[in-house]
Amino acid sequence: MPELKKLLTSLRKDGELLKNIIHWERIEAREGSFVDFPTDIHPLITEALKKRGISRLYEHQEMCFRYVLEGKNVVVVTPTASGKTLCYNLPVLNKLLNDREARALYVFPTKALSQDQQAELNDIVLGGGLPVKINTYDGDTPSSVRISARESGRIIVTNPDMLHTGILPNHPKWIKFIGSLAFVVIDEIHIYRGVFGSHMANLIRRLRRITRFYGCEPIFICCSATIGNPRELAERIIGGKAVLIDKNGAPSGEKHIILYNPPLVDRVQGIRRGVVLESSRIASKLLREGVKTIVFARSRIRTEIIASYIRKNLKKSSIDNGKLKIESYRGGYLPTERRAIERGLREGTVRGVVSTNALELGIDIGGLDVAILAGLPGSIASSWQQAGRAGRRNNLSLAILIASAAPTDQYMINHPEYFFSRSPESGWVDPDNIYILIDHIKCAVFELPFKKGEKFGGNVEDLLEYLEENGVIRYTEGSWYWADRSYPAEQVSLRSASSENVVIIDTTKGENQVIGEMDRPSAKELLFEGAIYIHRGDQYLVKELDIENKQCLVEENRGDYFTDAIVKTDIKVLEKDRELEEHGVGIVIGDVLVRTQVTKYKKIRYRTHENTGYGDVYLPEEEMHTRSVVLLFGENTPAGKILEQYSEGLKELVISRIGNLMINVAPVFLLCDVRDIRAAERVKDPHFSVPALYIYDACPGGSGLSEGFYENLEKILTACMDVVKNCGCERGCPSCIGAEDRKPGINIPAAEDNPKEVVMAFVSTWIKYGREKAAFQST
Amino acid sequence: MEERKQLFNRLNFLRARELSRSEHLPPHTHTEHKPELRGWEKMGEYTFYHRCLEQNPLSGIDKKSFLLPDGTDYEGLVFFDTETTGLSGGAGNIVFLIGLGKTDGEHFIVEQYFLSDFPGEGEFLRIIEKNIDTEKIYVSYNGRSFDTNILTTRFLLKGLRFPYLAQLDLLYPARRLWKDVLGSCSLSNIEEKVLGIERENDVLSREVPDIYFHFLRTGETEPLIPVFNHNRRDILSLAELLLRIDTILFDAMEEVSSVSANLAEAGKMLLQQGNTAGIEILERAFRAGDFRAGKFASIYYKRRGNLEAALRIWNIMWRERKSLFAAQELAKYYEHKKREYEKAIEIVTTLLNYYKPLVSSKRDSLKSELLHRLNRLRKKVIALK
Repeated sequence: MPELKKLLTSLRKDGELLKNIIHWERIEAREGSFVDFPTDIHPLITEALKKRGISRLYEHQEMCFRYVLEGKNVVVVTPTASGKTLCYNLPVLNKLLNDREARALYVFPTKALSQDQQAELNDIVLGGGLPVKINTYDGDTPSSVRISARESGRIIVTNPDMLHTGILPNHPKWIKFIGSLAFVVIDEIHIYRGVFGSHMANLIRRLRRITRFYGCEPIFICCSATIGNPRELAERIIGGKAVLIDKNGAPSGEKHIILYNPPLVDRVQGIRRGVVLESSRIASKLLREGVKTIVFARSRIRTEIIASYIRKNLKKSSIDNGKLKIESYRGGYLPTERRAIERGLREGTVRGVVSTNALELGIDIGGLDVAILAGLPGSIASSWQQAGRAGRRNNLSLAILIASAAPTDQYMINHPEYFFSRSPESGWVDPDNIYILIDHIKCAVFELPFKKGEKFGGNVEDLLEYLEENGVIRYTEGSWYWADRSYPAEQVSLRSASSENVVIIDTTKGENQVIGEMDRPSAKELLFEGAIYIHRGDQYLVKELDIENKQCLVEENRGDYFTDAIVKTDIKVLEKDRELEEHGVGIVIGDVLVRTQVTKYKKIRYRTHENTGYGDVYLPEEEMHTRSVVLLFGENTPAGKILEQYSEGLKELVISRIGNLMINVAPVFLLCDVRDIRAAERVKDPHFSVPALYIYDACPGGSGLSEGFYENLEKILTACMDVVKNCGCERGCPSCIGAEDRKPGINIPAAEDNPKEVVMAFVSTWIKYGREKAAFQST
Repeated sequence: MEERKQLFNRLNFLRARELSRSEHLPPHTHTEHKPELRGWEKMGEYTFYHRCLEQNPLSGIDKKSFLLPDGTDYEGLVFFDTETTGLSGGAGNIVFLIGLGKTDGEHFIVEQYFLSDFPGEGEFLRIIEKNIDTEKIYVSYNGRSFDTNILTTRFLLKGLRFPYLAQLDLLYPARRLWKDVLGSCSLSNIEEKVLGIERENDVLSREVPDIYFHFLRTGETEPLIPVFNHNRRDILSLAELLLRIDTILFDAMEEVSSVSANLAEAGKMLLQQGNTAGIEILERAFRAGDFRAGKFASIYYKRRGNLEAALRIWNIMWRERKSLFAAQELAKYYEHKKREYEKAIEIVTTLLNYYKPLVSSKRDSLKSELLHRLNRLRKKVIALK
């Protein structure tokens, strides 16, 4: 990449830019370690690979082949572009060619990925004339193809949702396939963390139960992006031992990683130039130089806005043929649009793309020179995954991580050693999470009667008895039978996100054209009447959101603003499981009902991002039942006593600032995304009648994060203190306790005028009392 | 202990949540019943058998069915219907009642097999298997996609093989004849609107699973009786429906005009069964203004090489209603058969003009097809000159 090389040299001389670069890391290029094709590989495969220009294998590919041949489950962890797919395709195709009966199931987390992988598999199989029939089997598969797929498909490519509702409950129709199932390939296994992972683990339990019924034990081949505990995660998901292969034999090009903090525009208030503007500016600069760039944005709106800024920036400049195609990419686009963008990237007609994390996964988009992270994703693993999108095919590459004002971003960008030395987060799942487990036991009984003494992970007799009392299963002569007219898999959604989608229809000039879709809860926050909806650079005004009929009517629009919903949240305590007093506060862990409602929205002018007006929204609230840990600052608790000294108005501010701080610090300890937990403060809580701070799971049903928060509370508190103390601002900023938010009508005494000092005093006293109490308790 | 308590707290909570979501069912208790069914014969530990004679709906009729291959008479048929524990299929849905109806010319006999609890399924299915006569033709309503499907699954799960059945599924002809008129072609709607049957004290199909579950919980057999009757009634309706369809086809041939069904479909059905009387019915329907009938008839003529007859129909359709189908056929005819390109061009141009205001994005492919044809025709004209 001569352009990139030149560019790096010029960046090194750019004083203005260098001022804001916190850290510049260079990672040396690495030689690959190759081995010859194993002699026991089927000659047709060797031939097919040679046709594709592959004459040797990477060491890890050969290792994987060897282990699978020995009958071991494996989990392969290697970075993007290290020939991961061959790790499983090689042993699978080999077996399928040697054994005409054998079948394999490939599970990918999304439909888009399955289609992409099938295309790649087809290249080898069709290109090499291998007699192996491959079928994608998902919601889009026409029913005419389904029967033949079930009957004669040797490799079935699907996703967890289809496995859950379509394949497993109908296993007798799949007898030919499941009865000869030799392999299960689970790609992107790192995606199956938290609630989704717990569902996946139970899904695999169900699958294994069925394969055992038909008398076969498939081998599991899992692939993962870099995470802290790949083997542990894979073993929990497949419910069995696995061998870890993490020695990457693929060569890699020289890599540069730049940590960039946008300059302060207001030193007093600690306001930095926004990540949206800054990343569009930098991306435009790079694109002008002719380097292929991907920008990862943290939300759908930001994706669209950054893309449109870049397009406008580039309008004035022209290079080569004067046309630089910039695309945006995110969920909610029509499948054909997404395929077209992916193809454009592979073929080089699209030079730049702005994407949500939708492109973080393994969809093949060819070689990119630069990855810009417009704001850091919640996890180190994700950051590396996104940064790794640049530099496929062992070329020189660059990743620029641009910090947003969010405290985690500020913390990471100011602690490069933390970013570079920290091992990536671990993925954890809880397959015995009772909410999830009980749902899957229902599905399992539906699939095959449950014998007394039969295990499902562990002993589940009490749950079966519970379901029996509940009237959906019947125990007789040593077995439980499904005894309900319903189809249980239909009532269980594997994803916390609702699968109900609202269709977006463009009604401009009387046409009725479907332009995209969006899940229902997001639609309420992004597609309310009056909202601006941006779709691949085209701007629309929402005319009507009809939740009942799942449609949203929009019309082309040219306003100079976009919209941002103001979401109001209300929490109701449903059940208290534990009540204790620790760390200087009262703590309650239990079930809550969270109701969110959009009542107003802001209009925000492009470029300046100033607020230009408000609008009202009238939509029914969205309900979610989840788990929460509530911190109670009662006046007889040490922390409550400190809080008691403040005026009413200040109390609320302090709790809210601490909530803000905690929610931003906690993901580091809980190994989750910032979006997985939420905080809400109540200075006069209607349920507890004392000031309360709710920290709750963003996943319906809860995923153990509230419990994890409680267990890590001391560490989180210490980290909060650390963040505020070391923050460069004077009176609090978005990076620590949030920007100063003076509310009219609240008089705050001069001594307590500096919010940062107040919070620091509060937290440090809190920690001190908490420790004293702990020390007292332990003696 | 603590954990245990928590578990049950959570479970009770879950239950409360489910309660509020749907109607609550009484619990299944650990009970094993030894039910007594009056009038039923015990064929195994869990399988009961019942046989009864019904008034024969097919008696005294010597017509052969139009829907059956030659040489099959009503005595070679078995009418069948099943009752299941769920309506959506899948491995957790079982068959607990199967009814078979036959005629020996004089009587109509309905035989029913009933499964009294889950553990007896294997035995139940083996008994069914023994009583299936694969020489016969099985008449069902939606049996192709439901009943035989679910039976195949049940047999598989018990390591058995459900025999291949020659099947006549009356849902398909019923849909063709009455979909336009009735909308819903559920058996109950057909019974009411076509057969004029009013059921008394009947249960709704969707209530059947819960009645069975109630029986499993309590051992009470009384509530099952309406289910047995419902199943028997369905089988009788099948026989009546077959007869009705045959009558309609017969009447259509005999030009009896009282037919309240889709005549074009009736004609088509007969043609598909190899009965050439169908073409007469189509022609008649076409004369009465049913252009779909004309379309079928012209396709039939064209396939058999009778272009003259086809042409007659196309011309009428084109002249009277600017039929797209007819225009395309005519254009093809003049281009490929007659090589009268000018004439073909005239038709295509008229069509393009006629449909111009209607051409939307959906019609784009049609439009480009027409333009393509037009270009080709023009080239041919030039080549000729």
